[in-house]
Amino acid sequence: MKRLFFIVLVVVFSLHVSGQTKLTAEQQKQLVEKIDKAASAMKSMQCDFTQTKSMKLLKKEMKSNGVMYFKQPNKLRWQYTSPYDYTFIMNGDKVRIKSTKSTQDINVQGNKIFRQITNIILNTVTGGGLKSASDFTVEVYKSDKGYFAKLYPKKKEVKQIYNVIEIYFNSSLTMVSSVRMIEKTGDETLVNLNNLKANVAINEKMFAVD
Amino acid sequence: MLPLMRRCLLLISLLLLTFQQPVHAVQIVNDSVVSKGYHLLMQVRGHEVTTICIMNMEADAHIVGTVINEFGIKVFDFTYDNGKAQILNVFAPLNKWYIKKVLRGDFSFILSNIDRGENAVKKKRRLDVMPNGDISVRNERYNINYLFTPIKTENETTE
Repeated sequence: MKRLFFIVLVVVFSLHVSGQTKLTAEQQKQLVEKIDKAASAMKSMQCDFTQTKSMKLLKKEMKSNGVMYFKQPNKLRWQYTSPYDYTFIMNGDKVRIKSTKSTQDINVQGNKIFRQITNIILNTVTGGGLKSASDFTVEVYKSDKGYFAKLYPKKKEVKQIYNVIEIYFNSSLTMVSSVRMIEKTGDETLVNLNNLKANVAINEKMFAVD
Repeated sequence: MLPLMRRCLLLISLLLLTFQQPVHAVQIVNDSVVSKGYHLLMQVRGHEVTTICIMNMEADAHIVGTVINEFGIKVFDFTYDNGKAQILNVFAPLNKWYIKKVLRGDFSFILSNIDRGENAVKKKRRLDVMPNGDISVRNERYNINYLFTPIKTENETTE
């Protein structure tokens, strides 16, 4: 009896401290469907972002900013503007990476780890990754600030890098508001998406890789 | 008296450091740690990888640093003490003993010379300080080039 009381106490206390409740399987299914529906309806999107990288060994954070453009089904422009210039353009299987010192063209199909990472980027910014059951074990939580999903990687290539990826949604569950990626080494990357505009006209030139 | 003198010497060396390097590349974290950030372009047998290299240099020449890609994914961490570098937490696909061995040798050479402001040569490795402040390092044995370009670190914060 004493032991049971202790377990109940620990569970209640942990729920209180974390301020988050895990959704039941049925609740999660409904929510994921709602998010997936919103992600499918979003034909294009653009936003600003801030990225904060916490480096455990250096006890330090590095912040960078940029802009993002997305167009269904798989066109993405992820551009850092400060403190460095670096542009990642994905158009189907082709990727172009432009930095101040070089431009590289990569065929994603020929590079397994690169393919996994580009899939993560695409799926996390739209929220579409919640349905990829073969890639992640998904848990959805409700907190004081809204709903968020924890994605535990299943594939070896991703597992080697990340412990968990957390995706936070806006209150109407139509868009991703931030993504937190926790690496195996304890380093974290938090990406906040700001000034989101859905279904806006985006010039095809933004995704040019030829 | 001695601690005061040591503190003055430290302050003078830090001031000299900031004048020797492009100002925007250096951030004095506190009176004993200087933080530096570089774009690091690595060329390995025709393949190019762009990364960011951040390091904290302490007054006793101890260095702790990390190499990450622009998306924030860690490539590896490193430490430097008494002329020797250690390579830690290597990105899984690169976590091979022979890769770590080459990186350890290259970073021991780089970190012992990166702050001197002059060219250096040791065996098959060569470091050149370019007029624009870039630092170019070549490992002739394995045909690897490193180009360190100072970046602004004004957005960085320290815990």
